[in-house]
Amino acid sequence: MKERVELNLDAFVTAEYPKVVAAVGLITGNRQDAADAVQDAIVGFLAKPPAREITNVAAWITVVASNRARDIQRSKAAESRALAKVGVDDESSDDVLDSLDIDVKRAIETLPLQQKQVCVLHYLLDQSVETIAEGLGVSTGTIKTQLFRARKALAAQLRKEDHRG
Amino acid sequence: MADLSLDELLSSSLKSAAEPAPSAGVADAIRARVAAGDAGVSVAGTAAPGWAGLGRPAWFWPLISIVTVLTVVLGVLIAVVAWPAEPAPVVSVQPTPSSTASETPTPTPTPTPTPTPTQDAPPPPPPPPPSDDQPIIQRILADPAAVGCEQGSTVSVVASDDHEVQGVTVSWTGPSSGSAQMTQQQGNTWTSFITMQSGTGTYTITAVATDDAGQRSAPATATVFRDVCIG
Repeated sequence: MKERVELNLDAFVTAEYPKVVAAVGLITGNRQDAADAVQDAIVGFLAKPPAREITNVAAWITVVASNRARDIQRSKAAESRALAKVGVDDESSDDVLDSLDIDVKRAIETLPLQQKQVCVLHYLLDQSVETIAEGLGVSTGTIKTQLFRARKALAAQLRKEDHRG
Repeated sequence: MADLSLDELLSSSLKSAAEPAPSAGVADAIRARVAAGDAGVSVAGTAAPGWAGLGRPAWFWPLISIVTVLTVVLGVLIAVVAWPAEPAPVVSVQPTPSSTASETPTPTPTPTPTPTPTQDAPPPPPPPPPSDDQPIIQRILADPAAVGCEQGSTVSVVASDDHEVQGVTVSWTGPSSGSAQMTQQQGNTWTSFITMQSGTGTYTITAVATDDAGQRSAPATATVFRDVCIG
């Protein structure tokens, strides 16, 4: 059986955790949910490591956590709708994207989840295409394709916003 | 914003918006959850969740490689089969006088073999066939045919042969006799002057031609009358 690399939890939390939570927050738009999701992903990584050796653990945790955060948000949205029906306001929203430039925020919100993930890994965490591909277990061509489509969509969206003034 | 490229804009915007999360106590909290048997987010498979279906499957490029190789091999085979075959060089191997020649010569595959001079040397031209027909004397003439005070008569012979007339012999009998080889003048004409200085009577002149094969013609004759010289 292939031996897996042990995750140095203390080193990862110290060096990577703050950036990964920020990345997941930008992907999902909610910092609090991002922190919970990242911790859930790390616990899952330690309890049942992936079936392959991963060098870029930060990319793996970012993607797993952003998917988890999306699920959390869906649950919360359903809960909010239920509370709204009985007249209770839910004030748990924490939109991280509000701190973004309004044009960039609008452009990023239009992207599919995978394109948001690869954009944040590339532009925020400064990870190369090859590093991201290794961390996610896909080919570099897949990452290039997603990044190309994301840049194309963002450029078009930003031009549109620019014309609006 | 217009002064920044898209990459610079995205990088600077995301980094300025990102707020690093506090990490104090996180490691201990995670350890506690793991120790308590919390499974966290369980992921099956080798690709990150949401990415397994993106892009081409793992077997795609190996399959493309195999198909490409097979296509190239098939193309080469078709080219070899469909290409017009060059005619096999015809090599005529002739035994040479040397005994060192191999018993089973292997012709070289060059389209234009260069045989050795001894192999294809043309046979020597056959010698010309000997003359089959004997020469023919077509005409014999003695001039003058009647000799008086003249010293003799000139005999002319026209002789021919299917190959070549080698010579003509003239002989005469009468008041005197003798023979001589005639001289070829031009073409098929041969001449000789026969001296007739004594006696009277008829001289019988006979000519026989001989060809290069030694065959002799039938004799041709002419007569010359010699009378007494008066005056």
